[in-house]
Amino acid sequence: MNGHSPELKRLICEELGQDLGEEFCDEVQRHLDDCPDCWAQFDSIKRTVYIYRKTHTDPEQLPGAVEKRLFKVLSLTPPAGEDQPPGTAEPG
Amino acid sequence: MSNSAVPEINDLVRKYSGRIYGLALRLTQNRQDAEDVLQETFLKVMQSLDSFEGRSAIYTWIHRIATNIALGKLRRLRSIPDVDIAPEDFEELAGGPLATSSNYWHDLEDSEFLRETMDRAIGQVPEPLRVVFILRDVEGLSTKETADFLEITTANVKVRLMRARIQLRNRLAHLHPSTGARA
Repeated sequence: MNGHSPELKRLICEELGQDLGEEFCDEVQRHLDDCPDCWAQFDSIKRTVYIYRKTHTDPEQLPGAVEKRLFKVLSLTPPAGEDQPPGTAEPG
Repeated sequence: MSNSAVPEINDLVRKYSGRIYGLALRLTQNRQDAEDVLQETFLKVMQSLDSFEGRSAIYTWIHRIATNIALGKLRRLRSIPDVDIAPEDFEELAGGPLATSSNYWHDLEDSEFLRETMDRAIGQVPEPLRVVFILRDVEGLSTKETADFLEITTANVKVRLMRARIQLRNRLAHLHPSTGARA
């Protein structure tokens, strides 16, 4: 990114976090096609976001003790016969 | 319960408590706070279930309640002034190794190691940025919805999101094995 014009930096900034018009998008895309350095920076950020989302959208397993306290607070009957399963204990 | 189409609270707790706990944990970064959010959320759901009008999916409604409660615990967010794009942002963007080895990331995608590493990295991103990242990139809220939740401008949401993404990437720089040109 060093050495790029302020205008280009602004465009890339917008591409990363702001809404762009089609014309700006095309301009950024054209630059990325010709600049491996910028492309790699973009790619790494996009990939980081993708991986984070992929590893954090599955339902969290509720720790057994947390579930037990939740049912108690709500005065609900806890799931019958479901002792705390292995691996769901709260960390010390 | 006045409407037989409205699910029973017991079913809602069983079905959604894990997801709500996960949301709360991501937002608060603290297990005790997350548990508090979980409990407060379902207490609120229990109290309000009769008035649920079905204008949105019930999970969307519960998610909104939980998000509001979690954000209420992050009072610091309210005192953060609007931020503009600064030269340091570009220095951060320019720094750090690059991820160009897609196979490396692919191999790690499902690993607990990667998840834990991501958790540590996102925990190091300043809260005002992290919360925007979670709401926009993970929970899928729109810019406008995120701005409304946080009581900030949409422009501020966009800037914070950009900064959060860059910081997260840079904090994961050690996972990026190589540099190189586009394959």
